[in-house]
Amino acid sequence: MVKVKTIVRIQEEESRETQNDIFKRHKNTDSTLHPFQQAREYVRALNAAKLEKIFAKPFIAALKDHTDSVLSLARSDKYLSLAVSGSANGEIKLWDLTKMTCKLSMNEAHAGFVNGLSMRGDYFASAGRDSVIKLWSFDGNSEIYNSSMPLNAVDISWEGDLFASCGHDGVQVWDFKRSEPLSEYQWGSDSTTKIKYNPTEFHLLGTTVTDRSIILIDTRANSCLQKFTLKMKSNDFAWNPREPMNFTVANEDTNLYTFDMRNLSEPIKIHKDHINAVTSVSYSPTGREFASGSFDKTVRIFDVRDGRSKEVYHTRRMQWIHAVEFTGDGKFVLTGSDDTNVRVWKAKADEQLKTLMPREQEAINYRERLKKKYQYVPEMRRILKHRHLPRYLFKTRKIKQIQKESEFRKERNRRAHTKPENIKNIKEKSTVVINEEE
Amino acid sequence: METKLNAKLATAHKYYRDGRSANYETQILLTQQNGYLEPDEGEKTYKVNQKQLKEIVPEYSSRHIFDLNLSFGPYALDYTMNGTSLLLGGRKGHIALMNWREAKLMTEFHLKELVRDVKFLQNELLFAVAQRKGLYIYDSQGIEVHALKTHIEPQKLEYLPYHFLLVSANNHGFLKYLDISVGKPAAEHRFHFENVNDMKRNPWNGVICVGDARGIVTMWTPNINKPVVRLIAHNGPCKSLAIDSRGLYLATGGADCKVKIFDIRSLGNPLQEYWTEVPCNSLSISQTGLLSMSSLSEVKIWKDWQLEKQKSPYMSHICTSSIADTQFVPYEDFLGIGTANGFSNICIPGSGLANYDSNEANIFQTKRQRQEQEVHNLLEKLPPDTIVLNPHEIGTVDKASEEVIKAEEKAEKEEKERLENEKKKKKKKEKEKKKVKESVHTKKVREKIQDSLMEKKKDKLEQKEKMAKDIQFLMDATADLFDVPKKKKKINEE
Repeated sequence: MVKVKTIVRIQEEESRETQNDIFKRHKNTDSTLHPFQQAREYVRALNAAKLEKIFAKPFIAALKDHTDSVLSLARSDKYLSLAVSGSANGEIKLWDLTKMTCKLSMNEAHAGFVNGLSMRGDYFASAGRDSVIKLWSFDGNSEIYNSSMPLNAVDISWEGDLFASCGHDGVQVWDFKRSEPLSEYQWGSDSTTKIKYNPTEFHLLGTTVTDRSIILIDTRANSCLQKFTLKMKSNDFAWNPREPMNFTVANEDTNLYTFDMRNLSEPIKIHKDHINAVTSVSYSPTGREFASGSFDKTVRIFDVRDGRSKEVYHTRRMQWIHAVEFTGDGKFVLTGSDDTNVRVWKAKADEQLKTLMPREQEAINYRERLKKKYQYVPEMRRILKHRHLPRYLFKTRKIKQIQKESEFRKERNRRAHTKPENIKNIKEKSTVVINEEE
Repeated sequence: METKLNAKLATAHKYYRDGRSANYETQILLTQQNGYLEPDEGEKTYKVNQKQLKEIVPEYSSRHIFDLNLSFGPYALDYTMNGTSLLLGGRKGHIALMNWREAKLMTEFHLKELVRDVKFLQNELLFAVAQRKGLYIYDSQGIEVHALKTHIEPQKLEYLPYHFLLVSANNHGFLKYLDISVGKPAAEHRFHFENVNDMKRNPWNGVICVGDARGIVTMWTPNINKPVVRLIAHNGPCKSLAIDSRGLYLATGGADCKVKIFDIRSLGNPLQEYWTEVPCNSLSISQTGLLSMSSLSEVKIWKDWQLEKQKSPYMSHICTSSIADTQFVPYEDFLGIGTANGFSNICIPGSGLANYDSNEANIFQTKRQRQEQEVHNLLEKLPPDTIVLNPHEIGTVDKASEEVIKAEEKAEKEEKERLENEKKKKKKKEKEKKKVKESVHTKKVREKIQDSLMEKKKDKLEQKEKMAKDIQFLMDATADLFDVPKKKKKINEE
């Protein structure tokens, strides 16, 4: 007799044991069962890019308790949910970000602008135009330090009970226990706008000055360490928390510049995209990205290695942004703007905040991978790059584009009519720093 | 920069290698074995008939060897992707949809019209029928969902599952692609066919193959309005076609009593030629690569037919009447045969793939799973441009020089502009025509025409009434003569 075997399909073998059980899935990777694999994967990638756009809802909440424009923001390095904001009428508010409520409100903390805020451990310091620095604990009690000049910024040191302030006449370093500054640094008659302690070298201070210069100070010595000048004034200064030799400055000329401290002759990266003066910059704790706020009423999020922003946030009601701050978990961005609101944004616009089931997480990971794989395909890039912009921004950007093109054309023509030996190749980076001193 | 690129390439290669090895490891999961028929020494497999098989195969298989006697044949048939549902279309108008595994009839109706071909769409819920005048789509309850009268007298139907395209060909020389997800035509090709005898899709790349009465096999894609391949296969009509699931081999059966096997990658001379006593009416190839040839009432199944010319078939079967259509059941060891007298299901061990992939075709699909798969398939619907002879082209780098690409782009742009201009011109002409018409038919003229029409109508009505009255009068007058009871009654009442 012949030997025979046939396929037997019995439904009972495929059924579930209980109702809550999952169905049996069969997998066969034979390529004849999966025709058009490449094309289908590409369509899946396109869908992933489109889903990213659908889910992109970055705005979370506006904290509306202030009655005047918000000038300064700081977040706690110890408590994830705590942040503090100061406004132009002297109010300081401590926020609980998990509940989106105001935890503590000091209505007459300063007479006039609250220009500087800083938070470390269980304290936060505020500096005002009224020449007063206040060191607050979370119950609302404060110690007062009287400075000799109207103040622009304050920063508490990462180690030891020290803080530094800067104002119209220079920089002062203070001890918590002393009412007089430990040391003072002065240069010329220009005002110092921002001051930041380096997160690893605790003696190192970075400051921006209104005479367009940026100064690095070693507090152990009595004079400035390094000074270099850009074409225009810098508004804010931020150290990269993971690569602490690098820092980024927000400049009045619409750009941000990332420098390596060891080579200040040119920036490592120029970050373009804003169309008006950049007022503030804040690093994510990962050190991979930073957020910047600008007078063009937008927040942009940049990759540290990238010259163009990867995200832009705006709302119709948000006015000039004075301060931005990344939260401690790197998931949110806070902005303080002229319209008296502190706003909370997601750092990744399409991120889902709920707890995800493992399968959901897997699907998201798969989509991310697909997007990465096909990111250079023109259609994908068009979808991924597109961001809606308000009309004034869109128009101005277009004008800038035209200007740039005409400059390029002019340069090209000039080169075409110059002797080859006279043509100079000037890198854009090398034109950023106009003066460097030690 | 180079180190960065190298690092990226290295990771890409690593992903590729890891993926391959992971893919290889999944073979452990292929637990089931394909069917087979192994003869003892001196025995021949083709001598085993269905009667004998019925006694030795498992109960499941023997239960499913059956014949249906139906009287509206010859029958065309189609299976769903997962092989669960069977659709029968009798030439005289009988349509039956059944779950053949459970022997459950889902719907049955009679169209009282010629039915040329039937085809399932994305799942068993919808199917298309090529009727005498047009193409119709029905749902699983037998309700007519769409009537597509632009598809005139369709001869053969084919469905491309990943593109959601329904293809119909007719003898007037039209090959039409219909996107069934949006209900719009995707492409329409005009060709010069004598007679569409058979049309099959290449499951690997979605190219449509048409065999016509001149013996020419043409291959079509939706985005090119000429055949991408034109193959003179037979000296006489090409009666039937089949393409294997890997898209490598094409089998054509002609009226010259030959069945030729071609390698699709290098068409030219056939690889093998088989000779049949009577022209082969229907060809089909199973997932594992068995070829069935049917001529008159006999069907022969061949194994390894492409590698070398076989001397004897693997199996054979003789039906009670002439065969119209055959199709192997996906993922099962069965062959469905549509005959002039009905339908028969015969067991061919080793014709189906034992290990299926539930993401592609789930055999025991629940309602929920079917719904979910439909949505996913729709999301991943491929654009018609992805149908090309070599599907691997997608996802590779276009290595053409910059000049070529630019020239192509330019040509494309010009073509677009030209089309737009034509459209604009047409619109303009239409507008002008309308204007002219309106100026001629001024209001007064229109009113006059309308009035005259009304008068004519009135005259006609009056005439009719007059006639009616005359007739009535005559009837009344002559009523007494013929003794009409009704009229008498009336008189009594009065």
